[in-house]
Amino acid sequence: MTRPVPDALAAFQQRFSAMLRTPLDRSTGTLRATPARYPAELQTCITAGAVPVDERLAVYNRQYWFRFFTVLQGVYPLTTALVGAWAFNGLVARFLEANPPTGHELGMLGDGLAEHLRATPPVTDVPATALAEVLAHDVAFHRAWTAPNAEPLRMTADLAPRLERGRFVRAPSFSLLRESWPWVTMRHELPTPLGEHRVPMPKRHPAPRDWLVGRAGSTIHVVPLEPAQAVLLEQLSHDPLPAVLARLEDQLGTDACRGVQRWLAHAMDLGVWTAFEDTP
Amino acid sequence: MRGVSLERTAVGVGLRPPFYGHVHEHAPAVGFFEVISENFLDPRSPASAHLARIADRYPIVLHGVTLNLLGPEPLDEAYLDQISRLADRVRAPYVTDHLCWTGAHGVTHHDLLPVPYTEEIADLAAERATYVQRRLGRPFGLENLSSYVELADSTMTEWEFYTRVVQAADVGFMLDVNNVYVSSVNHGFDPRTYIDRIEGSRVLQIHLAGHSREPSGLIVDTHDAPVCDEVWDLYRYTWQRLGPVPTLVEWDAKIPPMPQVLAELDRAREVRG
Repeated sequence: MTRPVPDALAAFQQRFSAMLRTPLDRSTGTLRATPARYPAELQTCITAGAVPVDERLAVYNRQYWFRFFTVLQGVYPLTTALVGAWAFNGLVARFLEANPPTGHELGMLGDGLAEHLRATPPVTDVPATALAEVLAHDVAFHRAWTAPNAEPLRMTADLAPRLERGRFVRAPSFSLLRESWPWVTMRHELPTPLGEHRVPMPKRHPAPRDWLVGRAGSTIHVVPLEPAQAVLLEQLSHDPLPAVLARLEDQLGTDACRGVQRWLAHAMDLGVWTAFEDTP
Repeated sequence: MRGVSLERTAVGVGLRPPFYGHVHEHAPAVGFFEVISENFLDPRSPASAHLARIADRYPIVLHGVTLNLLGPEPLDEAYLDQISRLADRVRAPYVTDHLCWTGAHGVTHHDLLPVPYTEEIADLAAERATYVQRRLGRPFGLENLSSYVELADSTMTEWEFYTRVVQAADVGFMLDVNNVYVSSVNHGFDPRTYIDRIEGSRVLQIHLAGHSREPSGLIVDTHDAPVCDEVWDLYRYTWQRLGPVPTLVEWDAKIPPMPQVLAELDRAREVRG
């Protein structure tokens, strides 16, 4: 354990931190630093030179925010494209003002952004359902790329008898997604680099579609699901297999459930599940 | 655990995700890779799986960005444990981070921030750096920052401060030649004077990178451009003055294809003759 920093340094760091986190002004249509809002005491800590103190501090202030905007645009490309980079940066700023970063990993900066936006919906012309769906898609794809590797569950002799009284645990990289608009297609067609401009809202599907997204080895799988498959995958995380199959037949009819057992085996081969938990 | 050895003439690349495929497929002639430690803390992550494959073929050195050596809180012991385990996993010959603070009062700023250059703060930095090196059980190096402000409370130059910390702590210099150049322009000093004060035998590694210029005339350390001619000149001077030192080219934005980065390694070999 080492001794603390001198009081004067801690006080300087508090003021410098306040300067860094001063929001950028959006009123002129560009993101501008506003040195008038920096702590006044900080000005006296800086030696003036050929470049004014305000401009020197503004470099740190702009770097602070733009680093985060860039990182989060990378994590939420679909959301950025749909609301536009300008609006997205505004949402990020609002999120980070309320939830300043505390961890070591920059890639985890956006954890909680989707929940934050669901809890406090932004003012935007994008329908709330669409915004919620693209946030979920971005989170799922980010998770597919970054979630920890997990050993896939395999069907073994001792697992079969336990299926009646337990539930499947999904591997952390796998997510189920529902889309009312063609987000998966839109993601594939996003320009690189993303650019500042909004992508127009696509045409809504006549009926929602379901997808399975996840990683097996180093391969990302994006699999379209039939309604029965989506229900199966969702409910197996909560209930035993026989109960889920019975409910599925009740809900969708026998015809729609044909091939479900084969699909179950396919999902296991993909590595959708990582464990099986017995329930009391 | 002892690390793998690194040739003093080795040239390396900052390993970034866009390079994984090229490295796996082509095994380019690179002396070593440096990784941002924070991106590999979870041993089960896909990034760590790539790193494990690459560590089988190349020396890996660790470069941290959130040690927060001079932050107001005590050093993060859990983080040091993670770095130590990562260093063991990749058999890192040394670990480096920055002579700065990166967060305060529970908030991580993800930036490398300045302190006044005083004897009191230098001694504190040395005390903490000594602790980190002992804690990690392998050589530890401190990198000089690019800075955009000079603080009124400073009583010594940056190179006096940097040298005092490294020598008192008995750690290494992680000498960023681009940062020396950036700060020399921003604060109006001769970058060769800075290099002249560095003790060659203590330099673990050199960094080279690109930067961008603001309308105000300030240069910002953006790592989004090729190394400029002025920095190549300063690198040549540094090499002549300090002797062979493992050298790394780093990109963090607008990352070009790997062959373009490899061409910069060739330029490094060529510049130093």
